[in-house]
Amino acid sequence: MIKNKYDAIVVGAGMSGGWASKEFCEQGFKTLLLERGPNVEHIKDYPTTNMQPWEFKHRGRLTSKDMEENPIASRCYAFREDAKHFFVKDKEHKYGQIKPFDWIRGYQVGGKSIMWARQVQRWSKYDFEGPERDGFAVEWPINYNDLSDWYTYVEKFVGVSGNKDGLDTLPDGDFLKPWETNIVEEYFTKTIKKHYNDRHVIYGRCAHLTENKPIFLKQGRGLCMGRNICQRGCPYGGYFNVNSTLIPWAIKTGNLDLKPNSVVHSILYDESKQKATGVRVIDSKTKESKDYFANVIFVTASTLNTNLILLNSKSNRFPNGFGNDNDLLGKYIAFHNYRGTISAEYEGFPDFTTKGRKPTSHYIPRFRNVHKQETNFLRGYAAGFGASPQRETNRDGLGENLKKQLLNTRETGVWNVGSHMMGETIPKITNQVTLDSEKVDEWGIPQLNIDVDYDENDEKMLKDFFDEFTEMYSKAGFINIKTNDNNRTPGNDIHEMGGVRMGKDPKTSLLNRWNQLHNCKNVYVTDGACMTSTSTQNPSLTFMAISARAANHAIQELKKSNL
Amino acid sequence: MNRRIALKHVGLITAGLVITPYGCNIEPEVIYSNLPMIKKSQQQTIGYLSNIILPEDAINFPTMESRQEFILTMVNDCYGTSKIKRFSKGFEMISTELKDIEFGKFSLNEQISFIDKSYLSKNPSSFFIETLKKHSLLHFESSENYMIDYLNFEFIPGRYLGSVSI
Repeated sequence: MIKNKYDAIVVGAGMSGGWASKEFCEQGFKTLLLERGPNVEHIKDYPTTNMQPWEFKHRGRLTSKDMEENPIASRCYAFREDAKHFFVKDKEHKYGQIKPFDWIRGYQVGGKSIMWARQVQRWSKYDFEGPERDGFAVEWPINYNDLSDWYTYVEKFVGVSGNKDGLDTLPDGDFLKPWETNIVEEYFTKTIKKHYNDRHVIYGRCAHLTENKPIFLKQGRGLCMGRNICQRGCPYGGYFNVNSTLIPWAIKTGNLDLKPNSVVHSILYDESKQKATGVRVIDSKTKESKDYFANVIFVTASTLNTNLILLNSKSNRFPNGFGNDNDLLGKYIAFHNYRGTISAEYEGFPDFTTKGRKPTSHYIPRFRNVHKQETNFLRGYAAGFGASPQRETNRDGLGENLKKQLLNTRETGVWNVGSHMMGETIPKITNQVTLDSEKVDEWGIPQLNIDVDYDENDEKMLKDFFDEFTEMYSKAGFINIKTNDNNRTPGNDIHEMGGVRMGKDPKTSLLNRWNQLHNCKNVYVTDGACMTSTSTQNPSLTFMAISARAANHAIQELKKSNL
Repeated sequence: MNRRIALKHVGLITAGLVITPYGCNIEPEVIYSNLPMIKKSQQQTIGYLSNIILPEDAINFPTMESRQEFILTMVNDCYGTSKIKRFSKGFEMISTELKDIEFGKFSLNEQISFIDKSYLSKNPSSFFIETLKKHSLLHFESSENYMIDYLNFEFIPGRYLGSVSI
């Protein structure tokens, strides 16, 4: 018997790796799940989860040391006093920026699923058909029909709160009941419906439990309490993260071997067998190197790290990186354009306010270029929409007067409203990652260099967002409308995708329709690296559906001894 | 040889410990590492001024730490070098002024007027006063009772109502 041998090896314990591991373990396959960071056990390892705002030494703010040492991570909205411990610090894992790129990472069991924004929307057929219709990237080898059942499968386990909206641009899923819509969200929804046939304001579908169901009780999860401090980890399991669901589920089967602090160096290839045999792992603490073996390998280390591992897996057969016969590995990286925001005020409901909190806001699915090309830019953007009552506190003056004013804080009856764009960027061969020929990290792995930027299409799209949303806000009677280009660096959207794209033709893509490398069928890539294009939706739900689908394909192939 | 040196060191350390309580205050002079110019004895000036800017109310609005501690912690930990420099310069300027004018003998209104004047001035004391006010407000507005009783904060709301009459 070979030492360190498993049925399956999964690299990376984030959402995609979590799903692959669950599927393998549930169906009786001995699975090794490797994670380069430490373990994070549900509840036990959420050190700030029950801290009140007044208990934080800096009231949630970052120290100047945090800012100076982490210029990149500190630009992420969730890198604050309460959750910074879940983020990779800038100096710990360096990378090269050929052009400015904020690589926001979470190296731990659960990955970024602990701190994610929890918005989950399905892709539609229009999203999958985009590259072929508009002539960029390559044609997707799958379409919505290939994934719809897997979306349902994932949603039932994850728990997604949503409304059935009946939109073909954003297909409905298996939803739990939504949180209440507020009076201004409702008003804006009706106003947009009155003025536009093709634009819809809907409830933002989110991975939060709003109903008890046996599957969630079995996972040990309770209802979302609307605390809105999810980035700290939720003791109730009210939102979906890998730590409260997939990992304990897989562990319960007795088939999971979870190894944290395991940095994957490369994938091992056996030329005689013409397949991958395992992975080389470096213990992050002792730096000791060890090889593990399996019949199938899932590379789900997060988009750019998956690219890195494959680029670093060189052999006689694959001198330019694993599966990289066409020299396209690491290329066609894309992301989401989050640069545009718009804010305004609304005075229409002066006698109303809200009570409590909800973990989501509203969402406007993409409406540009859906059925045909109609603008001077390709593709389109979705947007969020939120409305909250304004509070007024007079902080002028000094002494007892100032204190009295603070005690007279009140709601003004005016509402703050705002939207942010989520634009599709076009995958281009020039947007790429490569390995540095000299610099290596402390585990001897070459440093990743990132060369990704916006282009003219993104600028035109941004302008369109400002124009269209100014018009929509004006039609709703919103006042003091202000648009803002936040000049966000690529990567700060935390939706980087591609580099190991799926496609029909091995000459122009790396992965087939089942996420197997064209040139090595027992290696699957199912995280963001596999994405051929990005569309506008938050991508995690699609990563999870693709991972579950691919894992079940691998299971069938293993059963047939095809891998 | 080594034993002899070791014994000598033990002797010196013991003698030092015996002498120290009579020779100096063992409590460190500098508590906040980025604010070495603000000695422990001077820190109460911060508390004193912030209490005039926004009176502390430890009974109705208790907090984990005193106002003085909070302000100094925030400046020490969250301000970068240039802001710390401005803050320290302002502190120095105000301290000198306070010494000259017997501030403690001023009426409350006179004290407020002095602070207001410093705040509106274009010299470094303006930034100092502005910082005290900013963090006094943050300290007060993030106190448990203020958040719960005046901002309707609920840690675990468990619901969201979207149209409630004011």
